[in-house]
Amino acid sequence: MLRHNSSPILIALAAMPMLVILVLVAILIWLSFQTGILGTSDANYTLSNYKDVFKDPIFAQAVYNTFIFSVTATFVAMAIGLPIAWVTERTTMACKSWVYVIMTLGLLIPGIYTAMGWTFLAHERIGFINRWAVQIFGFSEAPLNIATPVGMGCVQGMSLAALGFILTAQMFRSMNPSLEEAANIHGLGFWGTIRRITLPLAMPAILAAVIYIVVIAVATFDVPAIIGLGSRIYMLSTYIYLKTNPGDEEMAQHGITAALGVMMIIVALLLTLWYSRVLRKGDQYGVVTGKGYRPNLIDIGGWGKAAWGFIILYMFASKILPLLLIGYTAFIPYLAPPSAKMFSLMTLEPLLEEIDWELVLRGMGNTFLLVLTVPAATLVVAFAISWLIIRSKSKGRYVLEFGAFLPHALPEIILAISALLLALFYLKDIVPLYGSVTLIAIVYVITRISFATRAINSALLQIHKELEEAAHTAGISPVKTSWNILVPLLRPTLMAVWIWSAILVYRELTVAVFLVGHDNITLPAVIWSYWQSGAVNLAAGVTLVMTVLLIPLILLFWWFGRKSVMQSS
Amino acid sequence: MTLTNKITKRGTALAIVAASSLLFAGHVSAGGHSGAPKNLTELIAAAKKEGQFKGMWSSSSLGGGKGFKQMVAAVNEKYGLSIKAKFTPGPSMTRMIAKTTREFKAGQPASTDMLWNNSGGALKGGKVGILRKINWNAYLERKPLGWEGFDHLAPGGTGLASAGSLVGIMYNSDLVKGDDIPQSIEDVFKPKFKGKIATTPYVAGMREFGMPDVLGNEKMVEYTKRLSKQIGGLMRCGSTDRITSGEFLMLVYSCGDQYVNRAKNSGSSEPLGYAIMNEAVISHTRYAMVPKNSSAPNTATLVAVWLGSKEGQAWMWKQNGLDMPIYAESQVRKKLLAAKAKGAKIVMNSPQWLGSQGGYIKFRKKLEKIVKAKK
Repeated sequence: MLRHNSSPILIALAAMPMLVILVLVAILIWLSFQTGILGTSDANYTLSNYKDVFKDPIFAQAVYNTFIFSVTATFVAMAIGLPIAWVTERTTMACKSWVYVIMTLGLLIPGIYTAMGWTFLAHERIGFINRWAVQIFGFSEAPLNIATPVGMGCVQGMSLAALGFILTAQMFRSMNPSLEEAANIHGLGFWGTIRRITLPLAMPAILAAVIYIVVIAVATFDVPAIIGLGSRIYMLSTYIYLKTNPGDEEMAQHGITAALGVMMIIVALLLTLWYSRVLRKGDQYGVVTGKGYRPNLIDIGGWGKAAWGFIILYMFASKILPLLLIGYTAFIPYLAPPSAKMFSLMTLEPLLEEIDWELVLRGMGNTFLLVLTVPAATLVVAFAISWLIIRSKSKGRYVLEFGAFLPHALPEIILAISALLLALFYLKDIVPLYGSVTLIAIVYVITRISFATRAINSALLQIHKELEEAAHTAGISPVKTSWNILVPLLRPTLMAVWIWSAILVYRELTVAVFLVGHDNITLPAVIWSYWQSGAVNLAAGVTLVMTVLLIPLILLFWWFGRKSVMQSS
Repeated sequence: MTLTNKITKRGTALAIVAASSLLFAGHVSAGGHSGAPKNLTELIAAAKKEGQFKGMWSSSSLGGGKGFKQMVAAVNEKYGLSIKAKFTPGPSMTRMIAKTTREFKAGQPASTDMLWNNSGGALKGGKVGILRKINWNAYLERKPLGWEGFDHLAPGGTGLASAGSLVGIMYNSDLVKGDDIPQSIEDVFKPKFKGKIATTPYVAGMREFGMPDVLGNEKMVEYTKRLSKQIGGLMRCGSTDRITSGEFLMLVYSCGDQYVNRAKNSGSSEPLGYAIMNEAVISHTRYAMVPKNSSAPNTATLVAVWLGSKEGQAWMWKQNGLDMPIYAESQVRKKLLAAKAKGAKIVMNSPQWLGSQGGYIKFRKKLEKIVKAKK
């Protein structure tokens, strides 16, 4: 039992995804001991997958590179995202509602284009910066080389900065300023207050964001695939990709992939234990109560302009540059660095005549179906899980916590392969999920649970239990209490989770690539298929369409989000 | 379209069917799938009942979705059918064999009604038993001219050879000119190319050059080790953008010259050039094959038959830059004959040839391991 007043509905909602995760992980463990054609009578049971992983010299190289890459990416993401979150939520900086638009809009750009943009900028042979540096300063060789773990980490970090922002902005928004004001009255000064009050108060959310971003960076595929794979700089994700996409005529080595997945579960366990320790100290950070929730803003005067300068610089490097390159690439007949010749060759022909629009429309239909259903389902189950984790006293909550974090620690490729083999071999006579949108939706919900629960956990920590205890004393059921008290207080967080889930679903590629079929292809999978077959201009054309289509949706979400903030204030 | 036109078209279709049935009456051999149509007329009738044709392969193969629609429209027009086309881009040829095998073993219908794959894929697909054995000769409209030692069918009738292209080096013609254009496999080791050239992760070309009939395993292992130190990275054959952008000066070696041919056929100004090596001219063959779990096996067979027709081969060359050198009008055949006249060693890659060389898969894996590890 989780708690005497835990609603069976909440427990059931939390248990459903746990069951799916359990089955997917069990399949993974089972497959890790198989070679041959997995899941069939042709499979052999062996320990060789584990031995093969450790014997492979590329694996050791991939682990080292992944460590450097993920540390760099996390540092860059937090160095950009955290200050922007603070300045947006805790200061009087002007026009800050636009920061949300900027930070979310950038997410529309698939990682492959951020990588491509930076390839044109800092590639040792074709990067503009390198060319200019050689021409202007007379360097004998290119000063920058983006095809290194640190270089790729910087590119990935810029993409993940928006996540760092989202994960910490809601915490700064809910933070009670009374402690900071008290510190000021006692003459602590600006930096002293930041160091001794603001940062310690924010530490649980910052740590949660760091853990979350580290794990994303470890599993990230786009940037390492585009920049690193071709230069033989392997990360764990591209190593797994190589094992599932081996050379000619070879069957995919899913057993080795599964063995890697099992090892990652162990890493997830360690990270979850660390995260649990942060959560256990959560009560001391419960600074928002039902009685005094009046956030005051810090007047930063002229520094607001400097802050905007920083945001614009970030926006240019991580959003505008790749977007310009998408626009440029969509209208050129073949890929070449921008030049007078290439501008003279620009044409609408690729967009109008080469793109398979029937396919694009099919992908669009499936993608919008997923965008409508997955965030809603994710929110419902994540709320149930978070409530039980934060409010329950039972030891069962650690199981939930681990279960909710697990999908995040597992590369999506691995979850996708588990789901694929499950649908292909075992569910075919029960539920025909193979090749369906439902299968993709289930995996998407599972992969989004970690983010949703992390965000809701942080927000629930900030809401003191006394309101719910009052409701419980008045005899109101947990479900009604959640709906009438918690949901309104959590509305900003829930909206942020909704927006984020919808956007991630909209641009999600990895899972789609593995589960794609005729009837469930998504728009990003269409883009990837063009990209990997060398039709980069067609991929850019579809990306352009995809980006333009989502802008009204983003603005709508943003408008609802701001309205909710105002209402809940 | 007027009624008269429709009748004329149908009449033409029937005439083609009747003529080809007569032409190949003497070539029909026993075998093929039990209950399979006996001739082209029956095949067309069987295809008509199926109604829909699904295709899944890489967007860079056979013109992707656009090419697929053109192909099915041409088949409909020629044989008087109204088959619906449904194409979804899929993974590489390699992974399509793996995907179809998995679906077959799981008792699921194949994602693609027709497999479009290379000699290695035909060899593997035949070995794992996922391909229908088809009596192709009963359906073909014309007899191929052939090529010495080359069978236009994959072993047991599991595939029909439909296209070929020549293994060589694809290069950026703006950046590699004159004497720098490689003629021999040794020319890629010039110091100025170090770190600026690429190879494929699946060692295209080298795996064939290394066969005992060509340069031999030992020589090619040593060569690949040297090349691995010379290259700057890995890329796929179809990623011509990495050559046109200048990221790599050349691809050593490409799966075929079709990308360059296609660019030239369409009048594109892409800076792409292609060089065939003096050591050997290897024709890389593609096969049309029908999986046992195809939902529309007769349509798939008919489409493959159309690909071997004059119209099919003309479409293949114009849209895709490759055709099958066993037919008289083939552009690839002309190149092969010209090379042969100069005394070049010609190799027609096929599953039979790969199978006869011994240890092909093991050797290829050895080379792949060398190029994937960074020196």
